[in-house]
Amino acid sequence: MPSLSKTEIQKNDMKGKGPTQNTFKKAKIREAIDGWLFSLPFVISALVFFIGPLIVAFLLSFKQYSFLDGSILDAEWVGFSNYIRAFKDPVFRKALLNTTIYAIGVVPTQLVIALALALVVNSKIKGKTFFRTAYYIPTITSTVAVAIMFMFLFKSDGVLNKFLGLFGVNPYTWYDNIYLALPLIMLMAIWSSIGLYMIIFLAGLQDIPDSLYEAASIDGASKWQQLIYITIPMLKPTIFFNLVVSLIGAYQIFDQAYVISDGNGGPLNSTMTVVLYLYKMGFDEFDMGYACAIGFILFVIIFILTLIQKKFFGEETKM
Amino acid sequence: MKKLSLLLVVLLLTTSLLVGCGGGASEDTSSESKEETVTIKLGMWSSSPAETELIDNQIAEFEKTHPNINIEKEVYTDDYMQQLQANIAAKTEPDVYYLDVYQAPAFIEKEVILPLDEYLDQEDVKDFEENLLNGFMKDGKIYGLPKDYNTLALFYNKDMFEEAGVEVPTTWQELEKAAKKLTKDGVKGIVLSNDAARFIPFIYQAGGKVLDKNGNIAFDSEAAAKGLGFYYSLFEKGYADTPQNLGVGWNGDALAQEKAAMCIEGGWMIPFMKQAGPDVNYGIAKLPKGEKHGDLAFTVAYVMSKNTEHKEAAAEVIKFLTGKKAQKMVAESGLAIPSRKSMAKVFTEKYPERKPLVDMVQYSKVYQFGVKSQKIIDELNNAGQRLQKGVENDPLKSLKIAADNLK
Repeated sequence: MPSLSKTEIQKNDMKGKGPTQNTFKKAKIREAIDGWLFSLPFVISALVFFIGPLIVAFLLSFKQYSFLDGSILDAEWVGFSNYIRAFKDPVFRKALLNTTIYAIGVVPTQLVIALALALVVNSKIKGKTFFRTAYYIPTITSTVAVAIMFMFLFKSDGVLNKFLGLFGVNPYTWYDNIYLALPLIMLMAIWSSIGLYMIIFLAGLQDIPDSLYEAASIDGASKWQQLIYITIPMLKPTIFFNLVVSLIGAYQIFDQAYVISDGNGGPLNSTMTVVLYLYKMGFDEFDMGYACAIGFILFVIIFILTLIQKKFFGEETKM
Repeated sequence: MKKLSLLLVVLLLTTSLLVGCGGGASEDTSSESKEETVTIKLGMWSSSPAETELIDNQIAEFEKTHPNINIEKEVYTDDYMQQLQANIAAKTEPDVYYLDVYQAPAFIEKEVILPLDEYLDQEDVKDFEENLLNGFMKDGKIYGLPKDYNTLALFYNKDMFEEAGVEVPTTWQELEKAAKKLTKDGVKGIVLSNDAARFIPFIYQAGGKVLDKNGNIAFDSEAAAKGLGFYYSLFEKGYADTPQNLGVGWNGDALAQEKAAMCIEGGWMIPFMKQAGPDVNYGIAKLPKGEKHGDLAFTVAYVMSKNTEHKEAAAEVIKFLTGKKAQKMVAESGLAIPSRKSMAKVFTEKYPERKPLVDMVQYSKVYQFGVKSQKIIDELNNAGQRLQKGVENDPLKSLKIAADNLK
């Protein structure tokens, strides 16, 4: 922006008018108007589809409201009772616990694997384009399709059971077990989203200048030392970005749990996640106010977790 | 100056766009007069081709006799409740729409649907099955007319029964014996799902209740525990298994793929079996009886939105679609049982083998448990799952946990 205003002033100079305070101000105002005009489509859509709903949802979280109630304005204010209710609600606590276990399981695993894959496809092996594509394909596959495919793999007469059957193991319905259903969803999420993080790591890796590695190898650093002392530190901003995105994604897990449990978080709430519970509350139990409160609790949790990560990675990354 | 005028033009355009959006809707209503044709939007979920054909024929028949009323179908292809609720909040829901009986209490309580009494002939209303109509009533007012219904019955594989030399069971003891005999060669005697909508009939059969007369939780009783206990004892003894463990999608699939000899399902099995198990020779029988008969009925009604601009016309549509002519078409299609008693005969005459489904309606309660239906069903499902997964072995305790969670 400032560079633009300079050219404006220069133009005015050429017309013979001096760059007085007045014309400078005028140019600035005009520029501001132009700027707003250009960003108007985005500003309007952001206000209507993002900021507006956000404010409404925030207000709703303090109200007793369902979509069947009609006007939002008439809904009764209930103060913090939706929030208090959430902390007393055993199913919500279970959902929060499940989601946290899920995040702890998924985020580190998927980042480590994604980084390893990125290192592999960044090296000069043959057919790396093929591998890059192959690892990325699950990411662009619909999560629902992936979930259904996993159900076929793990169902009682599915591929896995047929394979285990060769060793005399009895068939088992993996996703119908209260201890295995959630890990199954975790496995699915790791498998299907690794490609995305791999691509971002790959971009980060390619930003590291070759000269660093050359210098290091001249100094006699081993491949491992190069990884620890060059690659990882240079990748810190990328790691931070991936960590944040992956954690937010993990806390918002919904589709896989919905498909695997047929929308009810079963068996015995073992796959109930925060967003699935929020969805159930809002649309099945006509309790949109409570659902909004759950949404904001989730928002606060994600926000705090992101701040903590920034503390650890923040100084050099300047997000 | 040029730029300023440009800005003005842009602003004008955007505001006129916004105004245009709002204005459209109010215009159609103001220009409406009695003689003109009105359009009634009819909201429904997407269904099988056969069912779509039935409703299309009903609509065509209606438009023949009502030249002034035009019916426009609005088919919700996504999650019906989610989309419908969003439309209701925006006041853009259809004038008349499908409503499942188990969501009806919430809709009636929130007054999003209108009572229909003023448009109905009280004599004619008596023709509807009371059990079904009650599901859409509050304080003596009728908020919806059921379009059809289904009950649960016992579907069994005739060939397997013959081979094992088993008679069709009529009591719990006979059911257990039959299931025992039929469990062999990798086939389970009966497929049962972890689903309140399948085990609640057993609670009723044992003399138990889900809710008492005042709508309070009543399933934490000895009788209810007996019903639930019997259902899950079949798993424990090895005569029953879930569709998941049999490697199929749902109960009906287990019968179609001959992985179980019996299942408890409704009339929707008939078109399904034609498609998925055309060679399976199956029969339909009444649900076996415990202390007494008991069953669930599933029904859907046409209801009228409180936001409709054309109440009279909407009422006409509802009355026609649940009227004798349209119900006769339901009966003949065989897809579901017509909700009118006078038409049940047409159905049983055309499809005598399906009579058990009709016979069960007198013992049935509709699948509906007050405003908190969903929560109650979730908790009951969990109570069942605790027994099946061995987390809890005492049915009464499992039901008590469920009841406590609902307090």
